[in-house]
Amino acid sequence: MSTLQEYKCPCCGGKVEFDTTLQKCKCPFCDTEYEMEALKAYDEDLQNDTEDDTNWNIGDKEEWNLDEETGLRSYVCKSCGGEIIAEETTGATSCPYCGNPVIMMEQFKGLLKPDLVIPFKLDKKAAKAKLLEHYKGKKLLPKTFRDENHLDEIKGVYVPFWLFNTEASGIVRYKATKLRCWSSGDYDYTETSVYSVVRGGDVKFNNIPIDGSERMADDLMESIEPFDYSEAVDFQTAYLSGFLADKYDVSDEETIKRADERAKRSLEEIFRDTVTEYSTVTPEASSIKVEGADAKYALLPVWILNTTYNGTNYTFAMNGQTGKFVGDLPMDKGLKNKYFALSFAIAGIIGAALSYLIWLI
Amino acid sequence: MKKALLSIITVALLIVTMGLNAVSVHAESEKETYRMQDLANLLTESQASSLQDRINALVDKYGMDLIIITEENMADYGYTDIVAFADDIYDQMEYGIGDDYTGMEFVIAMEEREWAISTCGKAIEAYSDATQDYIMSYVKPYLSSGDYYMAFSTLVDHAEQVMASYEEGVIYEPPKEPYNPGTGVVMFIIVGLVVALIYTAHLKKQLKSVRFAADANNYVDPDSINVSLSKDTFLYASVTRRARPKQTSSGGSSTHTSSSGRSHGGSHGSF
Repeated sequence: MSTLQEYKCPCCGGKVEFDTTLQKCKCPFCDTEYEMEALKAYDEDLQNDTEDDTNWNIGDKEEWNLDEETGLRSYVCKSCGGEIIAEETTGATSCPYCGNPVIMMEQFKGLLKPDLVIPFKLDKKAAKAKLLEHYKGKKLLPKTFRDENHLDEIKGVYVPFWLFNTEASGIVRYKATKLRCWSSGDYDYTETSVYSVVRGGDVKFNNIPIDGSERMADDLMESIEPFDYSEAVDFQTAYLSGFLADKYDVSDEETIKRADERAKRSLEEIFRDTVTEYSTVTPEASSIKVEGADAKYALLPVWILNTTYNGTNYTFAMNGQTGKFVGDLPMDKGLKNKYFALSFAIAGIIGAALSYLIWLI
Repeated sequence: MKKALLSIITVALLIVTMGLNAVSVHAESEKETYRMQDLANLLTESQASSLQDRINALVDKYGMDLIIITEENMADYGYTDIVAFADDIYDQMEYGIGDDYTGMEFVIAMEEREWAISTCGKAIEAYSDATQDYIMSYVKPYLSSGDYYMAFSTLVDHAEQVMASYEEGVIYEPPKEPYNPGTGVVMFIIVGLVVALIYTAHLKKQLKSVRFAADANNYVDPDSINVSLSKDTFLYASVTRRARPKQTSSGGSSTHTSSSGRSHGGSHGSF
């Protein structure tokens, strides 16, 4: 319980949060800004503090066992003393009583310390604006969904990802055909030449991101890719201040299979792109191995938005760095039928008119 | 051999039809009497002579030959192809007007139930493929129902229009078939359905943005791509042959060469 961390403003004692625009920490009370480098040093000092505190943390073990079954843990807010109940994987959240951002330091210590983090670049406002943009141009979206849109929840989450560096190598064999057509006399001739085409080689991949959080839907996370790693920085807990964060609960060994699948597919596509000048190309055999995977642990910024419509929960995700926004939307069947009938009528009339025009010519 | 046989048979036929005094088959005056040759006895005598008179009048007026021949069969003459049969009769009997043997001949073989049109000289141009199709669309129903007088009479009516038009320097063009509203309805349904299905599928797709990333192309190190093995081996080739659809344009007339080496136009079919 001692591992809870708050970044207090050395100036006024308020809670500092990470500001996405400034890319610095800022105290919302006295507007003092702090360089991340300064906080990093501060961070190290704080870690020393927590080590010193371990001695009086006697009740900790007992409480841990109690909550293990439910997958919940309890913390005590340093500011107001309120009890914070959080999931086992929660790494950063805010106190439900006083709203102060808190960070569970033990979730990011030692082996659990992320190698890098991409700080949030877009804030809550941007996420809301992107949601409205996401609705635009969707003709089958129910009007009521758009109009009565109440977001149940909007949260900025640092999602744990495993970044895999891998190398794929192998051989793919294709059956390919070339067609040659010519005419002679009253006949058209077609010559089909069949080739056996073999391609082999290798390729390296840098940082294929696979989501390491059980809670986050894998397809949702893969939909907001890619992230720009050039903006990644060394991990500091201070970046988490004001956001939610989870530690990984799916290990790199469990996720590597997915990275391998994707790497394999990419190598196949690279080979396929070199098989040109054929009319048809069919892969017949493929032998690709992916190896040398070393995984980095990263926290990547994702805005998660939840809304409920007609009893169904809709989840949207936005890349907190690039602003790529995804989320499946409900369909209005009445609108669908309307557009079907309308396009049927218009296209049908054009079709009939064309057939008349062709007759005229 | 075939040719010799045909000449013998046709001459023999002529003798039968025209009486024993048919010494010179080439004489203009005698030609007039066999432009309507009902060798299969499909017409009454009065019908045949009325057609004969009309045909002769038209030939005199427009200078383009017109011949109708009915035969019991063509197999007896050693023919299986109605086109060759019609062409050979035309050439052997020296039908046609002028140096280029301008004329149109209509032949039916009753046992084979086949018909053929053979054109020669300027008539090739005058009777375009489309015109022949148009004429036959009127003639064929009568042939099929056995009303041969009406069939030939209709043929002569249309031939008169073609010849009159050619005389004025215009190649006859058959009137367009009226627009079939059924085509419009079918086009409405097909085009409407296809477009509506594609369009709504497109709209539905707009609502879906969450999907697995199939590949890792975003993370390829571009300098590391190395396709070291690249081998294309030819295995075998096969050739298929397909008959080319015959060109038919509304303005044109397709031609072929008869056994005598003369160029003929025409069409054929069964009834």
